[in-house]
Amino acid sequence: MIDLYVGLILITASIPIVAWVLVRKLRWEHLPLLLIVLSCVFFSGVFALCRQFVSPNKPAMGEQTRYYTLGEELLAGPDGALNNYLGEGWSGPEPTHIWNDGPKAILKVPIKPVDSDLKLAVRCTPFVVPDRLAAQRVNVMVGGQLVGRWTVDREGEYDCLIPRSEIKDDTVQVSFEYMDAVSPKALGISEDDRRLGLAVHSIRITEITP
Amino acid sequence: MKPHLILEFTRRDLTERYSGSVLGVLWAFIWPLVNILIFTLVFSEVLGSRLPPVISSSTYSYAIYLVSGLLPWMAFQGTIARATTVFLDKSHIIKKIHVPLGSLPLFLVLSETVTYTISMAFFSAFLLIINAPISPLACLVPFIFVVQQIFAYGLGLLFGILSVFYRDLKEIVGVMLQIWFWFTPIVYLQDLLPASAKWIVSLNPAIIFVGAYHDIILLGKSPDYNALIWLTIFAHGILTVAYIAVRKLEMEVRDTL
Repeated sequence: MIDLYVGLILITASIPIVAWVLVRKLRWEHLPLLLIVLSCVFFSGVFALCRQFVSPNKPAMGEQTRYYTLGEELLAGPDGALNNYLGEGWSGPEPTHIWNDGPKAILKVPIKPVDSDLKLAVRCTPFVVPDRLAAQRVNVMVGGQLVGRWTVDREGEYDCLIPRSEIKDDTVQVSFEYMDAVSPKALGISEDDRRLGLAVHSIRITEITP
Repeated sequence: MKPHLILEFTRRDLTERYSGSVLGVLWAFIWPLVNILIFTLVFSEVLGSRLPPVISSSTYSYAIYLVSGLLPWMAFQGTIARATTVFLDKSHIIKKIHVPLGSLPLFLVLSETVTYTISMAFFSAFLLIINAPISPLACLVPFIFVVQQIFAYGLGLLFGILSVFYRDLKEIVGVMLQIWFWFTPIVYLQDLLPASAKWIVSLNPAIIFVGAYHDIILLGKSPDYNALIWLTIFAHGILTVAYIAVRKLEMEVRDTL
């Protein structure tokens, strides 16, 4: 959508100026304005081309893709291996777990090609408040497809199946959508304004052998 | 304004800063080198500052974060601050020869660019020494820097014209730049801000280019191209407004000077 807006602005900005230059003939004093327009179009074009052709999901420079070994337990925590696979929507790691912060948290796990479906298991504790918030409802999405719908009311392991067809670019991209994420501050419990859903302790992905 | 005149102003601007000193223009190299050494060694080795491991696990992560944002900010701030007083500072020249006011502050942009380039050369050498990987995306840094300087030039030109009539503007701009600096995540991480402050900071156009340098230099990942496109349009819009203001007020400015 933003392409459309950018395109429209560029065109609407440049057409009258170009038309004006053509009608009035280019005069020396108009050159700076023409240069400003050309510069704007040039730099916008450079960034638009980069957006088109440079992948935004490249791994950080100098780092080899950290392929996850199926079956390995990824622990949360300041030095936990889980940190290597976190996308947007997470709070900072705490000693034994990591909270989401907001309605969605993303996990990106590069894996070597597999021939079968996978199972995702998440050991977690929900943010619940007696008499006010009984459970956290979480939708688990992979590649835009709903693969799990959890109602997490106590600490435990929750799992779902990840179809092989939804694994794109050798990466399992899981999006946790929290229906009941709310901040302790909003509930008047503490000053913590993070919108919490689940405290994840560990994550494990295993291959489902046919 | 003829290019050779702009280059001559730039050369003088760089050399006059250190005129009379024994080392002369060598100071232009010593200062950035000292700054980079202080920022990197003090923060990384003495204070042990690190970014959260989820962002970067490098020992020098905070130093790289700081320097990659601070160097372009210094060029940005220097351009605006010095352009704000350029017509007053150069009034003796403006009175004697016909210098187009719209292009006069260009020498400041070039001068700040030279300083930034020297600093970046030292910084790049530092990155190579500590074996920090340099992404191919670093090719984008000059483009982002030019857009940033166009933005600074537009604002500086506008403030420069207005400060001829309102002399207090120089001080106001100085204060504004200080506040702007602290509203830009250069020495701190944006994630550390409370939600209300994040919202205000997100309106700050400077976080687009500072964030882009962080993404490219520290993380080696693509910057937010959509935001850069908006910044480009915004910066050129400001420059257009400044240029039109110069055209409208040029006679009054010359009379007032």
